[in-house]
Formats: sequence, C-alpha cells, structure tokens
Amino acid sequence: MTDTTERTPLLKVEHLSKEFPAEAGMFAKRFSKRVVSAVNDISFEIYPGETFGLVGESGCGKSTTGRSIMRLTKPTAGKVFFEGRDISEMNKHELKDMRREMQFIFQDPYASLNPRMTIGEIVSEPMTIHNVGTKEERMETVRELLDVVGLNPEHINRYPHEFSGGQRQRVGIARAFALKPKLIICDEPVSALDVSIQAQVLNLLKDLQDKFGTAYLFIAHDLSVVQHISDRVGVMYLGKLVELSDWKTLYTEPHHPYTQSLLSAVPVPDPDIQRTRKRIILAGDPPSPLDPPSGCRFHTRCPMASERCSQDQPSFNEVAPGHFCACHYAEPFPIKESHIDL
Amino acid sequence: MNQTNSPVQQQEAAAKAETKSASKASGKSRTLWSDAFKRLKKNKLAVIGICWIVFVVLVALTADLWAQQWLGSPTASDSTTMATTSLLAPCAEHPFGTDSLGRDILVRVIYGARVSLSVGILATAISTAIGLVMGALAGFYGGIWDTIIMRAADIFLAFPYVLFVVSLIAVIGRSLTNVFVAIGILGWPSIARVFRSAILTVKENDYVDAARAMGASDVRIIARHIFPNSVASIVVYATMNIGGAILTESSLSFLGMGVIPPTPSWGSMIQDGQTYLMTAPWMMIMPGLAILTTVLAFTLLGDGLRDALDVKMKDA
Repeated sequence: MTDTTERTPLLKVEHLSKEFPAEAGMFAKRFSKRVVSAVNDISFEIYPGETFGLVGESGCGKSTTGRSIMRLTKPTAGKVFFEGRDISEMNKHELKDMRREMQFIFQDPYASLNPRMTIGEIVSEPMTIHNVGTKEERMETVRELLDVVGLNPEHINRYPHEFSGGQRQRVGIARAFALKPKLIICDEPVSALDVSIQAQVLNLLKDLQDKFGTAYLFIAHDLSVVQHISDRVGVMYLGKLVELSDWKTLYTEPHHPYTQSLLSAVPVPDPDIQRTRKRIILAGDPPSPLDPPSGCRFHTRCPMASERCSQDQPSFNEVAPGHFCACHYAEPFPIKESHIDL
Repeated sequence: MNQTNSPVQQQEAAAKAETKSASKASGKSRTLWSDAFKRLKKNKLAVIGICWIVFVVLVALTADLWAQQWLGSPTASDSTTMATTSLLAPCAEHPFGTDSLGRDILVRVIYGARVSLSVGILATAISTAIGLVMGALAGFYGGIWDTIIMRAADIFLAFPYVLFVVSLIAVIGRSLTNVFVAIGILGWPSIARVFRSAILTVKENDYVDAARAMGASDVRIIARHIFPNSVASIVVYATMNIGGAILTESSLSFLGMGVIPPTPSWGSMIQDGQTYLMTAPWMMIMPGLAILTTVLAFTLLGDGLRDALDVKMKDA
C-alpha cells in the first residue's frame, strides 16, 4: 500500500450531507421539518489512479454520495473538491469543464443507454458535447473504445436493445472512458449482471484502470466485489461513514462492529468452515433514515452497544495510520478463518 | 424420423441456426421506428384505418379534377330545375341523393372532407405545438412552471369544451381560419398533460442523468434524450385528436358557428338535413357516415400506433 498522506488527493469530500424533504408538494420544502437524511457528514479522499470502494446495505446513501459528487443532486451541506476546486461553488461552465474529467457508470445497463440512439451515438456523445475532434475522428475513437471494451466495432450502428446486459454495460464503460477522465464514479456497475459476467466486467474495469490511470469511486453492496477491485474501502451505515481503511486491513482487522458483522456474512466457499465459523447476526432492519437513532446510528443493532452509544455520537477517529473508525469501542477483530486470499 | 436424428443432421441444424443468426447480425440494424412500422402493418384494423384516411385525403385533394363534372357544383343551386332535382333519394345519378336545393350530396360530402380534414390536421398541429412547449416546460423544469402551467390547463379543461370554442369564435369572428385557431388553441391542455407525464417518466431514466453527467445542456437533453423517447405517446394522442377536432368542427358547424354557407361541411350538412329528417333522411345519414368512418379511422390508426410504438412489445 502506498503512503497516501504524501500525495495530493484528486477528490476531496468534506462533511458532505444530503437531505431530501420527506413530503412532496409545493409547500413541503418551506414548511415541513421532516427530512430524510440520506448522507450525513461524510468525508473521504480519493487519490489519482486508485480505487476507492464504498460499501453498505441498500438505502445507506452510497449512491446519493456518488450523485452528489457528480452534482447530479445538489448536496445540502459540505464541500467537494476536485483537483482543489470546490464543485458546489462552480457555475454552469466550470461544471461542464469539470465533467470532462469525471464520468459516471450506472447500475442498470438497461436504463442507462438511450434506446433511440445507436451505440456509436451513445459512446461519442461525451465527445460531441465537449467538441472533441471532427465527426470522423470521433467515430474512429468510438471504434477503438468498442474494441478496448471487448465489443465488435462493426456494431457501431446497432441499437442498445440488440445487446445483452453485459454488453450494454460495456457500452456504458466505453462511454465513460470516451473523454479519458481522471475519475469515474461506478455506481454498482456489476450488481445487475450475472455472476460470470460480473467477473468479466470487473476485470475489464481493472485493465482499463491500468491502461488509462483512472481513479474509481466504486460503489457496491457486495464486499466480495469491492475486495477484487479496491485499494481503499469505506463502509457506510445509514448515511454515515463508519470505517475507512485500505482493504487488506479492513478485511483482516475490521474495527467497527458493523464492518465485522458484514465480513462475517460473506459466505465462505468451503462448507466445513462455513458451517462452523462464528457469525455476527444483526437483529432487525436498519432504522429509518427519516428518524435516525440518537448517538451512534448503529447502536440499535450493535452487539457491543452501551448506554454511552445511545447518547454520544462517536467521532471518526484515526485508530491506526490511514485507518479511520467511528466507534467508542473500536478495536481490531482479526478474522482468522478468513477465506480472503491475501 | 425425429427420434433418429443423426449427429450430422444435428450439426447441419446447428450450422443453419448459426448462419441465420449471423445473417441477422450482419444485416441492417433495426430502428425502433421501422420495427414499429412492421408491427403496425400486421394490425388489420390500423391498416384499414390508414387505407380509409388515404382514400379520403386523395378524394378530397383531387376533387376539382373530376367531382364537379360528374356530380355538379357542391355550392351553386339552379333554381330553374330545383323542383325536379331537390330531395332525390339515392339513385344511380346521385349515389348519395340530393339536398333541398337540388345539390348532389356526394359532391358536398367530398368537398366537406376538405374542411373536416384540414380542420382536423391544422387544429391538431396548433394544439400539439402549444401542448409540447407547455408540457416540456412543466415536465422538465417542474416546480413553479409545473404548478402554473398545469393549473392553467385545469382551468381550460374545467370549461365545457364546445361552449368555450363557441364563445371564442363569437369573440374573434366566424370564419374557417378562426375555427382552426379556436379548436387549436383550446386543445393544448390535454396534449400538454400527456407530454408532461411522458416526460416525467422518461426523465427518471439513467440515460438522462448520464447525459447530464456528461455536461449536456438542457436543450440537448430535451431534444436528444427526452423528446425521442416520449414522442410516441404524442403521436398516438395527436392522431386520435384529429378525429376529435373533426367532431368539434362538425358540432360547431351544426350549431352554425363553423364554416359559412354555402361552403359544405359535414356538420353544417347535418344541420341542413335536420329539417328533412323524416322525408329525406339521407341528407343527415350520408355526412353522418362520413364523420363516423373518418373519426373511426383516425381512432383505429391511433390505437394501432399505440400498440406498435410500445417498446415493451419487442417481438412481432
């Protein structure tokens, strides 16, 4: 693991929060106090060329984080710095320039491609918008990109409905790489795909990263997927970042009880171990983000929770170099019987 | 035979299937519109509708070339022969009969088609143009735009439609152009509603976010992403709306607010025939049939288009 402290971050997220009004309607915004706090005060950094994995169960705010960074939704509070410039303060033109350097890969390969455009039009659209090259040059780039992502460049005039889910996701990846951006936000790019296709797409993303040196913010709910691709991993629970570390440490010595329980839920492909190993089973459903628990948001389900946890909100402390954790009782929990091949 | 399939036969079949899929793959790409047209051709009722509309349009367009020589003038009446030619029942010489002034009803129905079709198409064009802009503003920008435009639409829709058109014509004056304008202007709310809801659905798709994430402008997002994906519902609605506009024009003419006599229009012909309902029913029945079949044809076409443009129905 390279020492992250000495490099300048590509993306810096500071105290980002996003709240949605809980009631719709023309007066709700002004008069209603009820809000869904989707993302609450999270901070992290992404360095050039690395992959930052963001995991958590559905509804914990991972996607909202990604969308706020991209300014697809406007954050309620906090700052996002891309190469030192604050995204939330940018005007239309600055935002457009910034979007050359930052692209998005979507979860659903069926919804993310316009059914009325050909593959060539879809992949070349970022270049068209940013006036890169002539039409012929753009089409040449599209052919190269299709080749790189493993699609037949002859299919440039086909429509998305003529492709399978995995192929469509490759089209989405080709589109994200069209402008050779510095950062790509991958919002669960493989969770809609078959397991066999998942591995192919993950390997493709890895190869492309080696080739172009792109940094990824890789959002997923599947720890085993994140493990394959990430340099560092952040774990989210109910809109909060609870633990952040390089992935080896996180997978072998998770400090936060939530991370520990998540890791103990990853199935082990060995029936003998799977049957006998210790699992931490969380009781109940995650609380509603409409009415988050006081103190530590995890205390309602935490096996270690005490009186203090329901009152004091734990701060996000550095428990070891480069390893942050938000828990009053953070302590390493070595996973001895880990199946993870280090 | 089936049970004794030799490996060679199986291989052949496999090879055949492969070449078939390969030829499909190398063939020209299918666009959604060409797919839709293919599906539309298979819908018998829609094809009947199209045929009837094409027939009526052709007859109305070419009427000057042959109709008057064959059936006489649609407007002028000859008072010297009126006694012998008025209110004739349908016969070989006058297939639809004649009216109280001795004019042939068929030729009047043919010329009436010009009025009805042009009102149907032009009025729909006007309401669609207004409706698209309003719907796009309301659906895409939402918020205050949405509130203002949709409440305005509600107010428009709250008035009895024909009464509204009649009062507008009373204000702007009675002429064929004003009939287009009145029906067109007052028809926008329903188009705007349909387009707004289509936009709201399409807007939620990831490819709209994808375009925004690329840095696309609002105009580009509407023109390249939202419009092509929501236009199907408008095509369907506008097609059916043509039938509705024809009906409205007929009602107006029937009420004496439409075209000015002696120009024939299907609605005014029915009004003329009212007096002779018992003695010469063909005076009402013939233009009535013309309205019925033409409106029905547009409805059938619209129905067919709706099924054909539904992206979910992939195979046909």
